[in-house]
Amino acid sequence: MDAAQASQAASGGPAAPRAGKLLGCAAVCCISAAALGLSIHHGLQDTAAYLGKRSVDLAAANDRQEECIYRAIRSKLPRGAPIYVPDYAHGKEVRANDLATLWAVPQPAPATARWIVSLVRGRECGRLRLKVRPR
Amino acid sequence: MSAFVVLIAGLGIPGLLPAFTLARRSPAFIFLAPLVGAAMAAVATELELAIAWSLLLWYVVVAIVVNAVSVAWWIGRGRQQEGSRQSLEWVLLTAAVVGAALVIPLIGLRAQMFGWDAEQIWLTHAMMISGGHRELLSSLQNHSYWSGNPDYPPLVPAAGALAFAFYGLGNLHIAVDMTVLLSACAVGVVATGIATVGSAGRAAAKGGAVAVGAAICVVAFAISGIYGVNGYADLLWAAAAVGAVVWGLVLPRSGSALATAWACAVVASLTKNEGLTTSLVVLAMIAVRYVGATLPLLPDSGGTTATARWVRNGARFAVLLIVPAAPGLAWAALMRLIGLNDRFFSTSSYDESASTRAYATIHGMADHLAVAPVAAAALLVGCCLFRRERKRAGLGNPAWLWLACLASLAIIFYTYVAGSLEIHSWLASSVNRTTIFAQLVLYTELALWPVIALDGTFPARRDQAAVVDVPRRLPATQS
Repeated sequence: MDAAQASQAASGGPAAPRAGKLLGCAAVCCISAAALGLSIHHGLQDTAAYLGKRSVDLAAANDRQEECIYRAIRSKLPRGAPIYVPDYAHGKEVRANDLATLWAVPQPAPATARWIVSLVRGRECGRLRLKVRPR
Repeated sequence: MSAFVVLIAGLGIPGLLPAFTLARRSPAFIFLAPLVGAAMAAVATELELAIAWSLLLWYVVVAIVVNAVSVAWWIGRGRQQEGSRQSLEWVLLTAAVVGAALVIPLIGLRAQMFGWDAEQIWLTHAMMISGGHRELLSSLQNHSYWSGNPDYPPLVPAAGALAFAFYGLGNLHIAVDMTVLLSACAVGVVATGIATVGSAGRAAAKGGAVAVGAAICVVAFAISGIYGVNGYADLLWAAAAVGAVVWGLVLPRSGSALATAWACAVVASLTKNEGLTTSLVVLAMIAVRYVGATLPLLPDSGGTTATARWVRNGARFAVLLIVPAAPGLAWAALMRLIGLNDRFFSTSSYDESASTRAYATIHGMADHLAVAPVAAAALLVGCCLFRRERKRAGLGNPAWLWLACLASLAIIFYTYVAGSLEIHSWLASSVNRTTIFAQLVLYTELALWPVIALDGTFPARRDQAAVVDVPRRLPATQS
């Protein structure tokens, strides 16, 4: 808004927008609307995909497995138990290590542990079972 | 639902008065309140780790102190008013529209997804924090947890631990929900900032501003993809940092805009390590922009020499940078003190040349920055036709926004090139998340120009008052 327009607007008169400005405004609005619109479309598709039956079932199964391992650790091990989770950083074992937090004390090496904890095939928690054996 | 209760009762209510003190009568304060609560929980975690006792005890102490300071500020302020105020109708309408827009991506929460980092990092850290000082300290130093990045900042797990304090450890997924809801709040602060740009215009600009603000809510989650709703913290730090950019580097200079930007930067710096580095850069830019502005920190005194002015500006810059950076830097210092370092730089590096890593990084990052040319086109048209309108409204120079974007990309680029993990798998697992900030900044630029263009093409019947509460002693100029 330049000075003339400002005074016109302030005095209550109509501030007729110039054609260039109108075209520019339309161009900027179109560019932005196209980019934002495409992204919104993409986002809505994503949300629909997360809410698909297969995705929801997978997530629910994962949630149940997580809570099952959490409870199994607390039922099979005494509180404060020094445990060792072999090769914990390379797969599902990490979940046993992390979900033991606040109950057992994971050890970086087997020498200081009293129990060896691992996740093996089974039916206890989905397709896994928490295996606990004394060292 | 449980997480929403914790968000409101556990974080929002303790953070309400401080958030209102920071943002004043702006729709942002509604979304800022839970973020301020989460930042207080993070500071409480720092105290739990550094001194003793539990998160809950320190959270109560920190909340009481912060609220007492807010009350003291309101009493000390008296009836003094800072510039023009937003109408209550506009504030409520904007908050309602932005809130409604945020519900759309949050529907994804119904899928109950549990991301890898959400479990291995954030849930584990939340349980450590729940255990009190001794458990937290010993677990962070326990080498068994090394792959879970124990040095990561405490805001996300602190919010999770607070949820566990409300509902117990029976529902582990509540920690994920807390992260997602906090991310939504941070996006809400960005959206209300964009809406504020058009708040003083005519219906076209006002409506357009609220519409693009609402659009950004969906766009932010679209950029993040699955990581926005499965408990990852990347959207939270990125949106908080973009909030700092919008309120500190785009909106006209004012006390409330600065305070809101600081709060956003504190949240970003306490969420992830890349959030800390990015917010430090953004805070430095905000400090540069505000040095010379008339703020009540160091009042002007006539007849000062050039040296005195230089010293005064240096002191202003230091205050503007260090005060909001302190909570994030305190956590980083605590981590070094207990012997923890960033895992990405601490292991021996792979046999890859710097050029191989740089080439792979450039390709990896470019794939996620397809919006950059479009944003550049909007910038070009906007600068050619509406530069004067932007200047007259007191909005920051668009260069600040682009500079923040480039600085963030430079930091991420350096981390990938100088880091020690195998570059291709590292990029594959993270580059879509580390570029969320840059993408959101570019989409914000795309959202801002239509508002400025509508305001310039259909100007409001107003004198040269600025868009928001610009200090009266400061002329509204582009800065």
